Amino acid sequence: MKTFNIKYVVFVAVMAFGTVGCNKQLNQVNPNQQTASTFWQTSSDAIAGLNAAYGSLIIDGSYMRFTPAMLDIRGDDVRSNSPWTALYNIGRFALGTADGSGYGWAFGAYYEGISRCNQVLDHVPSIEMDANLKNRILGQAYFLRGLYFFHLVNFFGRVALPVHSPTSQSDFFVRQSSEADGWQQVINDFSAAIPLLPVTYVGVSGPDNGQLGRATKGAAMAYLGKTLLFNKRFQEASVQFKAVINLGVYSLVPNYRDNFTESNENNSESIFEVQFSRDAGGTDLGWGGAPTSTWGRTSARAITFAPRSFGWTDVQPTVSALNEFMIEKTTTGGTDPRLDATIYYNKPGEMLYGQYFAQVYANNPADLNDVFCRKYENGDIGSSRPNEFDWRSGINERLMRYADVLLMYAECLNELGQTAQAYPYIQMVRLRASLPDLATTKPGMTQAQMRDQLAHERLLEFCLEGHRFDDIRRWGWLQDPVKLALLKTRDPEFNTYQPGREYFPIPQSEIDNNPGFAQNPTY
Amino acid sequence: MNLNFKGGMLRAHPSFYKYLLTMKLTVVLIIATLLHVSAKTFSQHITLREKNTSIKKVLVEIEKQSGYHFLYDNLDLPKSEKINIDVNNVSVEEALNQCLKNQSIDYKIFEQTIVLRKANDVREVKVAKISGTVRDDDGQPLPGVTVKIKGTTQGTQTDINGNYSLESADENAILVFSFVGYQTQEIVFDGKNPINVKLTPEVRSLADVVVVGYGSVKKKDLTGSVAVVNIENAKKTATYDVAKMLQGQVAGVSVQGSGEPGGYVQIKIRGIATFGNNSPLFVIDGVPVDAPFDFSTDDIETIQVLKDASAAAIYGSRAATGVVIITTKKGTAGPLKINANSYYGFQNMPKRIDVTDRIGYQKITSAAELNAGLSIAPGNNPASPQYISNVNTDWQKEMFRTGKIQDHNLNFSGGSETVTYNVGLGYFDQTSTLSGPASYNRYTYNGTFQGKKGRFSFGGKTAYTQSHKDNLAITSSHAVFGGGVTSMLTAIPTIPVYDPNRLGGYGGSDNVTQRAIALNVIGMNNLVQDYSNRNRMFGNVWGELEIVKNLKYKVNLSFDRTDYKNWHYEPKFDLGFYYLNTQYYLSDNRGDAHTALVENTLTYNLEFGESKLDLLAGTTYQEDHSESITGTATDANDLQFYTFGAISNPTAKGITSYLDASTLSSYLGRLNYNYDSRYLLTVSYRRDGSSRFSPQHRYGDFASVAGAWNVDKETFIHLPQVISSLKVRGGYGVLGNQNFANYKYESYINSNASYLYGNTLAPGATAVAVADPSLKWETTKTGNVAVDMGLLRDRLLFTAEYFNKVSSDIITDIPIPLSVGAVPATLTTNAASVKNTGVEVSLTYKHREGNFQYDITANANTLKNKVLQLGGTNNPIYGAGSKTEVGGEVGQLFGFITDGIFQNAADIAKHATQTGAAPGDQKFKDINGDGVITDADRVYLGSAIPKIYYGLNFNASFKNFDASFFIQGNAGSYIDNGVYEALTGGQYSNHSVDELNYWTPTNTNTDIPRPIIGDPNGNNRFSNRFVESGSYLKLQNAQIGYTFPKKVLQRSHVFSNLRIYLAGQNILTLSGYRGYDPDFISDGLFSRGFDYGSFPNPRTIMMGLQVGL
Repeated sequence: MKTFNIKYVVFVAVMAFGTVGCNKQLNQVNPNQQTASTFWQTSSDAIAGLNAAYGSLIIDGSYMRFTPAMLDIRGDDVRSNSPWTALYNIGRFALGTADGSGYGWAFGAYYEGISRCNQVLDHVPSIEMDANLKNRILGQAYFLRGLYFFHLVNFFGRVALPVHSPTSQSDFFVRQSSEADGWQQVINDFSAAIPLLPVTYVGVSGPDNGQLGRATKGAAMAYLGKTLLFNKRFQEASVQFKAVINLGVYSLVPNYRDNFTESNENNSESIFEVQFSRDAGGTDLGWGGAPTSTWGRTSARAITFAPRSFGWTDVQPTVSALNEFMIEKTTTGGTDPRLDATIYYNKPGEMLYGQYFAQVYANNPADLNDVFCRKYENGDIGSSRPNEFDWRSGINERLMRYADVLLMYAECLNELGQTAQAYPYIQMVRLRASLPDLATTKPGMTQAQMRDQLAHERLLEFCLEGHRFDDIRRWGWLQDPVKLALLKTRDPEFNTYQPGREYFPIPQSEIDNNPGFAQNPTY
Repeated sequence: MNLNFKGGMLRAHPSFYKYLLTMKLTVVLIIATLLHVSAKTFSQHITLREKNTSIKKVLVEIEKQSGYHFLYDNLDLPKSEKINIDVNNVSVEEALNQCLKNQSIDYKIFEQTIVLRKANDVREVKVAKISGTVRDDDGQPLPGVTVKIKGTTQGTQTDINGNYSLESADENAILVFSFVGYQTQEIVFDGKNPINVKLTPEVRSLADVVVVGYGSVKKKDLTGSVAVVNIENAKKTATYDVAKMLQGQVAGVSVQGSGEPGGYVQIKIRGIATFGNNSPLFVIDGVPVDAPFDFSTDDIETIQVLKDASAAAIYGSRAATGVVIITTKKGTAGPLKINANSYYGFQNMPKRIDVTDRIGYQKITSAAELNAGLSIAPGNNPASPQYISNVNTDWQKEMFRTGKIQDHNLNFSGGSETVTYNVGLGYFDQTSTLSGPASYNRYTYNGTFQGKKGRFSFGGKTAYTQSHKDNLAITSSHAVFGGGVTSMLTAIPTIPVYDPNRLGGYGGSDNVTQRAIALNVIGMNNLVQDYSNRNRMFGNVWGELEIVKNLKYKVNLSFDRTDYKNWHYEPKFDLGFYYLNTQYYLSDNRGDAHTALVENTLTYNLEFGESKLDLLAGTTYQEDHSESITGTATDANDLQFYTFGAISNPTAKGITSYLDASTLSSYLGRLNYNYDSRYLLTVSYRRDGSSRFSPQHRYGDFASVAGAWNVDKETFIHLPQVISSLKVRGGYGVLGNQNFANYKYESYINSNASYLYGNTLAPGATAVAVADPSLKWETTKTGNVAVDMGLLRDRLLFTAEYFNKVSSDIITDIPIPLSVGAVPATLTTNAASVKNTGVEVSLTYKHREGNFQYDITANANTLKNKVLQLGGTNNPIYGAGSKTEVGGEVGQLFGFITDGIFQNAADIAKHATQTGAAPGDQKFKDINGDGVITDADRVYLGSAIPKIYYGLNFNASFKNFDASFFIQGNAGSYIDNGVYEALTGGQYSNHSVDELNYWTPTNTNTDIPRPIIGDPNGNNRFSNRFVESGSYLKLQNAQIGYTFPKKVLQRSHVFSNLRIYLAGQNILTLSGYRGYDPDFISDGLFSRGFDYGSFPNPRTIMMGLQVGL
């Protein structure tokens, strides 16, 4: 009997403790994703990490939707009657801190991009790889970080400037910097990028050979110039713009419209362009969050800005913008051709999405007399796109055009007292629009007259391209009672402007979670 | 057998005592009439070899070998004398002769009984016949009642008419009548027949056995906080989910549910112990299971709620949120019994919210447009040709309909002495009270068996569930503002339900005519298909071996697998402005999850003197695996075949999948010490290792100690007569929690962060989220003190408890600055610490007066929650209209305080600067006095946690009729009425009728601000205007039933039991809340007070039938 029991005891002990004690079973490795600590080993890791830094350009907060909306709607050439307050209140300077929809997503998107740039800049230098490729990668990361910081400082003013990936939780709390420090960081990043970047990727040796859409030396110089211009450092800015011109690789495309359609992307006028496509990636809309394999890489700008019945019509040009195009006739006595590339309106024979404007809106007098966005819409490409309601637009967003460099250069010359020297650069842009020689029609303008002329030229050339509000802001129009009154007549949304509201509110979650962060005044 | 009557009986029955004294010989002879006894066969052959042994021991051995019973008095056996015996294969008589030689003892053999007496005893052996009838308290005969002569194994059972008869040699024999579900009665036979007995249904008493983790204990011997649910009361709630059954039934358990068929039920025990899932651990038949709603509630036999550390520590790592132990029905030996339970009911929305009709809507929205300087939308403008005057949709009327609920269960049970079985089959079906396909149905099977052979016992279980849930379908490609219920209420009355001119056939808003984004929920629900299927298979076997006496080894193996499918399909449709679908969309998500568990336990019971020691030691190992795969397709072509293979366009399709595994390895031990049921001590320990943490932080140790003192057992304390039992108990312990996602302690590379160059995808990879490598266990320390008291012979049972529970190292996603750039902008870390304290009181009272009896079960508890720490810099966590910060409670309401309406410009000028304000706008209080209204002017607006929760069950019966009701409620909570907020925005969506009284220069005596498109002043920002009392008292259910008399049923020769009943559920709500229902589903945590428009609980009227065959 006793030996029998001992056998039982041994059996039980084996059963009981044999099943436990295998602590190896407690090591469960995530089968879905690579652990971060094993990444950043090879040049392909470096390339993938950099691509990810670009990826933040095409989510909701950035150029997929909200950055264009935030840039455009506040201008006097654009308005919003969206039922969505996150859009409606942008141009009325009436966004509140209670709801961070839109601008909060933009804020987050830029920092997402910066975080990805910082990972590249922290890890890639120690990867053993081709030195030229490494330089190009680092140069692009500097450029992108500069671009993200540019948007942050421009929109929000005093922001945090993280330049490294956090290594501990205490690194999460980067203090709020002054706006001046912010601009300096932008300048530093673009400056760092310039010497590392190639003029073109055609012919470079590496996996990036010939890839369109990567940041170039010209893009970094143009953005450095723009940043300096925004800071009224005209002399330094003019050096950068001149350098871009002197690169000799950029030229205006003959057809103005080629800058806003899917068919002529990455053309000779494009200095930096955000890439969208209906062909790459999956079919889900990649709004934001952790990316998934089913994300598409399309823009939602077209549906958001589209004419009524073809999209949401959240954004529309102002009638004053339309009128601005009517001021000057072409050399052949016609209407500025840029109008037709920019705005849908009820003119004889006007067609949109294959239908006659007059017929589409025949029953709605209000719409019949209204004006709608045409630039960056897919309404002119034929029957394959009857409307924008599938959300997916493949049109690349041209962030920096050669025309902008020319006009910014002209502006620098004017500000530096070289008004006469500005004329030819302005005329290069006017010429494509078949406008008469400015030197003939308005010779000998004073510096002040030239400023107004540039304001007019820039509105026509860049309407709906996100430049107008930045322009009037840096020109001081918001502080000038006469100009402010003019803005209110052009766009009644300015009636609710109040000083300080040229900045967006800093998202409440940043205020709440980053100790010491102060909200922008008036919010 | 030894008729050695104990003193207790002597006191209780003096006549018997007298009899003993007067009679020298106490011999009882039983002539057994029991069939199963007389059917036994007896071995006539005895083999014995004993030396120097007591007579008694020899007799015991003869008894064992022969199968005869001996009757004798101890006095008759010489105590010290030792005998020798050596017989081989001899008859019983021969063996007895050997044994009793040289003793002055005679024996006489009856059928199966051998009577021993002194040889010189001259009295006759008298045999008395005893007979009678046993009835229940309604006077109905009770068949199958066991009748025994006390102190013997002899007895009989009543026949179908409740009659019994047996014979006894003892004129003063004590008869014991016992029957399951009835109180056992003892009657002394006084020589007169018949002995008729009336049995009273059993009152749940302290002798009840309570199932606790890895064992069971008498309620009287409990040290920890274990609430035993009155299962009859709980089962009166018509639901598919056991969690909902617990609402209001147990002090300290809070339950919130919605009316969505198959919808989620929120359950918390003793407050928030973690910022993740606060649902308790459900243990069904000894196996921890997730998603207990998969199993039929009808199969449940008992529910115990383990609330404190002492009770729950044995489940260490997963017990911090409490443990609910469920046992399902088991078979008992006997012929096949069949029971059927069914109900069928109708459900309706008990309440409507008053929203504006066409005229009211057009008036308010037009005013809002004019106030914003806009033109009036043509559809609202009588001057416009597009003015809408012929559509006036009442969306609630169109949406609400009668839903159905039904539940049918069949139960088969029976078995032999060695193996018993129970099989339950169930079908549950509920359809929605809202238009659309929403519904839930479930088929269940649950089979259990258990048996015993010698020292080996065994058992097992298989269960299978198939459920189908049609979801309230919401399109995936459009935001549905506020969810389906809010969308229904905010839908404007000027769009028709049906419109043949729109693709899909349903009406919608036009962005020119009405300018409103308004969802036609009926259209959406009917156009979009969305369902979830679950197939669950559960298997469990266990075996237990008694290795040596009182040392038992048990192995328990279980496997639980769920296969699921979530399917979603959207056709192209035009539901108007914004809700326009130009692409077909198909999403098909399938996966399975399984859990395998191995448990080995050793138990040892030791008794010495008055002490009892129960020891438990064991190991458990659990593996969880899950995997899922999701295919999606978006295409302009019809996806009519619903299969991916039928979609020709390869770029229209996408696929993702996910794998997940975790393991948990544990050692556990427990010691129960019991001294005379007076002093009780429980010590538990568990060590858990979890794969969810890094090797450095993998193990957690959890222990508890608790003691109890049954004061009434104490001889030196004399309690007043009215107190029948009194126990004080207390305990302290540490529990753990690791109930959150896997792989969180490391940072990973997301390889989908791609970009494109030209039109070519360029794969991108980067770390998008941040991680805390030092993630570790959450711990919860609970102290519990309690008094259990029984009054009036335990007719009134009363328990009062106080607990103090501190949960620390709570793992939560703390918000981190957006400037970190992490997606999501949170860090999962051990951040928070929360304290919950509360008092819980429960009582039951039973009373009986003739044919009338009633019982009351009531409970109430308070709960206080305090955040001690939030981690990092202790930044507050903001939810919907709430703020959670250190020193406050989780999810406390937080917002602005209104201060009337701005009447004019002067009013605005003298008030603190409020951006965008104009006359007619809401004025907010400048709390911090800085002269400007900012977010810093927000304050606490009330607690979302009730000050008191309560529940009360009342059951009564008179003869064959029974009635019951159940009241449940809470007091002292506040709700952020998100639905009302959505209805008072003064925008394009529909309005509350209250909004009609909006401010105008001529209607100034109002507290409703002017409507204005864009709301530049933020009138609609969260303020005390939307805070309402959440207190309520609900008549949750009421029931009247009729049980057919046994006499009637017997004539049928089919039924043994038949009851019909009529019941109502959610019958009446007393509450000042303006929303649908103060009992709503929220996130239960940081936005716990936010009612976004959860699916209202319907009112149910149902008929039920309970049949026993």
